Amino acid sequence: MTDQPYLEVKGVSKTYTLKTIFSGSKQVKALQDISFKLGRGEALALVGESGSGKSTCGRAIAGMFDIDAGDILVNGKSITSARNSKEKRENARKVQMVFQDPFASLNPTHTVRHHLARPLLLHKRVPDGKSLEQEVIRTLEDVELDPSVMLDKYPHELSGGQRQRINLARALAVGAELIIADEPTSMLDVSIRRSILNLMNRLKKDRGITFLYITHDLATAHYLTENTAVMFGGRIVEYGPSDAIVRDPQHPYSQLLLSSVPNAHTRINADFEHARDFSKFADKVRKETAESTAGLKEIAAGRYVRAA
Amino acid sequence: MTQSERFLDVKDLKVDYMTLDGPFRAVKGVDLHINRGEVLGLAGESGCGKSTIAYALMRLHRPPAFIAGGDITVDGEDVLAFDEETLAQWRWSKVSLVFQSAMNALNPVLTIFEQFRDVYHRHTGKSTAEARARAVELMELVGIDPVRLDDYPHQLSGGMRQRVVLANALILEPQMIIMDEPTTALDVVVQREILQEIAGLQKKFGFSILFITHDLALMSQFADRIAIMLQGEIVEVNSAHEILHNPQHDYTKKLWDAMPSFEDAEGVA
Repeated sequence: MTDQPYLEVKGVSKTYTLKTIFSGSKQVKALQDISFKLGRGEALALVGESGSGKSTCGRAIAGMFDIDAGDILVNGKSITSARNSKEKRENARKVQMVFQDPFASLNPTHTVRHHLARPLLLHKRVPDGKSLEQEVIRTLEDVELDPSVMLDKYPHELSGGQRQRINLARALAVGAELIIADEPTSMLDVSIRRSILNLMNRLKKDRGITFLYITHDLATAHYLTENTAVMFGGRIVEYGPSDAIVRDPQHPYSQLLLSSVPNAHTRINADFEHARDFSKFADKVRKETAESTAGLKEIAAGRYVRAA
Repeated sequence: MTQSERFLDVKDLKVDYMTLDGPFRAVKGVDLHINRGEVLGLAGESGCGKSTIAYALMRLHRPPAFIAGGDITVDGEDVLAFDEETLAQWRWSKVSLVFQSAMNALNPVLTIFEQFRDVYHRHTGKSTAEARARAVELMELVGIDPVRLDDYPHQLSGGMRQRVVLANALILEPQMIIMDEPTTALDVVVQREILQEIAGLQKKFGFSILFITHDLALMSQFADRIAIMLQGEIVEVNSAHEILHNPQHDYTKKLWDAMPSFEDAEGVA
């Protein structure tokens, strides 16, 4: 990690108030005192189940809502202090998101050309029409798509993998430095997941793009990232090198998560009682993790675990 | 396998979808069988025709899809020869179906109990009290507190909804359950819980399962045999062990290679 991290998240909290028609309001602590650093050209995985706050964390960094407490620094500058639209646009340009659903994130009525040209124009990245076309073509080549076939296609003519490449291209087109990828492969077929991960890996290594990779899949997290933060109930329960977390998870929730990843080499125990025991165990771990108020403790260099 | 007798036998099944350019053959002459009490995994990527097979087995296709040829025999009976009323009685009591999206499989304006009652009443004609007793029994079986019977689907978590769908598929004690990506929309931990649940129930009751998923690793943990499907055809069928350790077809090998596993370290800088 360089002296100044590219992204620094300092004690970020966010609480949502749910107001229902029939009952009173309810507070949901989506993020509680989240802190981490991410160096330029590195990747961090935020891993956890639905509702763990991992996507909320990504969206907070993308500036999609105001946080309640804490600060988010991109390249040393706080995104919360952006005063005018120029600064805000500059933040938006540098930090781009790629969403889970490649079908919903492209406009069905527009061509690939439009999807890539529009952000270039919005962020004033090109001086004239001719260089716009060249820039669009170059961006498509960056994500390993053939411009001669792709440019005039509509989203419905593309496969899930191709659409996700277009989403990555759209982020690259405006010169994204940090890409927040929220489950970018979970809606793709297994047979093309790896190719998208490989592309992200190449962008990271060759172009120095920083990635925040949000997923519930520890195996792919390990494939792409240096560090992993395991989240539960809006908090980080374990943080450390992805390799170490996969080999030797410390927090009971990380252990549960890891043991649940399908492994072709172990047959599951089909005993009826065992199924019930596993569920009870899973519920117990979730409950204890949710109730624990302990702070993160450093157990080895760069490894932090919340006491169970 | 205790009995080698075939419960399901599919011969040369062809399913077409009518399109503006003429019929598109989604299933191109598939042969497969499932023995009593056996778990057969059917793997392949989206669009390969695996769900189309599931629908064909239950005869759920509506135009523009239709079964263009072949035979489906379930427990010695010719499914394609059934009339509508026989079919309606046969579905759910002999073979039931669990869909991927539990939210869509449950009616949002009915309580959990009302969904159970509908199926039970339609097939057995028994009273609401009897349906209640059966529903309580099933909820306990899948590990949900029966007080939740009076909740609506949106009040349950995704994992609970999938358990309810599973319980609903078991209500008439079918001899086979077709499961179309039953765990795909769930978190890994919940996915594991549901898979354990399915495996436990299967062992307890001994029904056959056609388990459809694109996740080969998950399938290998659970299936007895695995069939690999590519563009409407089954390209390889073998025991789960052989598919894992000794895949023959290039596509099977490709599917394994495409999955990042913990053993891969190449991606980590």
